[in-house]
Amino acid sequence: MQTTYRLSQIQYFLRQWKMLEANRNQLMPNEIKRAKLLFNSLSQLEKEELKLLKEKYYDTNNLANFDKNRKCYTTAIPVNDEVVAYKLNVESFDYSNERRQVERKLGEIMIETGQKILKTEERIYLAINPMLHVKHVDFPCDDSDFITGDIVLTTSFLNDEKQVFNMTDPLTVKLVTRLERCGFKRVAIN
Amino acid sequence: MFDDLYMINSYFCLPDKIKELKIARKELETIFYSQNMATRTEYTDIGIVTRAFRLEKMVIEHNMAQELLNKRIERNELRHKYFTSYLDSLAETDVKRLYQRHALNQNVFVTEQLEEQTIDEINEIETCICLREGIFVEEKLQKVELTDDFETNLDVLTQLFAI
Repeated sequence: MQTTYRLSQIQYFLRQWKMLEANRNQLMPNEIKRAKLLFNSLSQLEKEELKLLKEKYYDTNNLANFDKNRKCYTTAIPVNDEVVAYKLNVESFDYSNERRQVERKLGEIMIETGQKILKTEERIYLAINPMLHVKHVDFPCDDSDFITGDIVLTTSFLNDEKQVFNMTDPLTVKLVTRLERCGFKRVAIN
Repeated sequence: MFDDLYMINSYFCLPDKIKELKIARKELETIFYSQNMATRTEYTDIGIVTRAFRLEKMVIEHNMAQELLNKRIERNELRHKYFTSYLDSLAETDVKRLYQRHALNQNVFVTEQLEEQTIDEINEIETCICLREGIFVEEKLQKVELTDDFETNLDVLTQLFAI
């Protein structure tokens, strides 16, 4: 649930696709989060786009990353681009270009679904871009739509310096909706 | 559904757990009788005050703690009793494999049918213990089974991991 995804980060999710499905009955808590994000965003792709990704990441027999505690593999090694292109009767250059376009589209969908998931969570951070998180905001004292006082931002990755917004409180919900109108985005706590 | 990963392992560890609880019960007594029960004087903000051992309060607290530990030991012994009676009904090689895989954490092949059977049995024991205490148990999520069709599988998984 980040604000941006690099191409390699999206491929990291896709490599786990097959084994998340196979190990669906014995997932660890962080894998459940990943599965939520991946499957909800994959179902929004169109059929032809899904097929392009499926040929590479799903139809493999090479498994990797053996987990000793659960006795199962956790990732699948994707098929080479040239092999897939030979199967589909297209040139490998064209195939890899199309695949990358679909992956970028998937990344955009993943940002949207991530924001949807964060709306159900209770404690969050706010950020205006991947580097700048909110450090301190004054709570509004009246019902006006303006934000009074300064908004202090930090560049540090330490979690102590960021402000935690507790969404069970109705006052903070008001503040967060106002900040979201200005372009701030929700970020997960862990 | 997600939390029966270490279930069988914890059932094989039950004898150790009972031993630890019995040691804790012994320690509770030594802690209680090693404290000072005489009336004494104390220096506080108010001044020099006499303070006595509160017999009514301390004894009741001690008894409550003992009762809680006794209940825990009793529950675990029941679990152990039912689980061993289930293991006796299985074949010897199956029991050995289950033990090697879940208690010793070795890479041994166990059939899915056997594992499901044991997890069902454990769930039954847990509901039995909850009903003895008068607690209502919610039904667990059932295992999700997939078909050979790729697209219906995706729909099933999105429903499982719905936001």
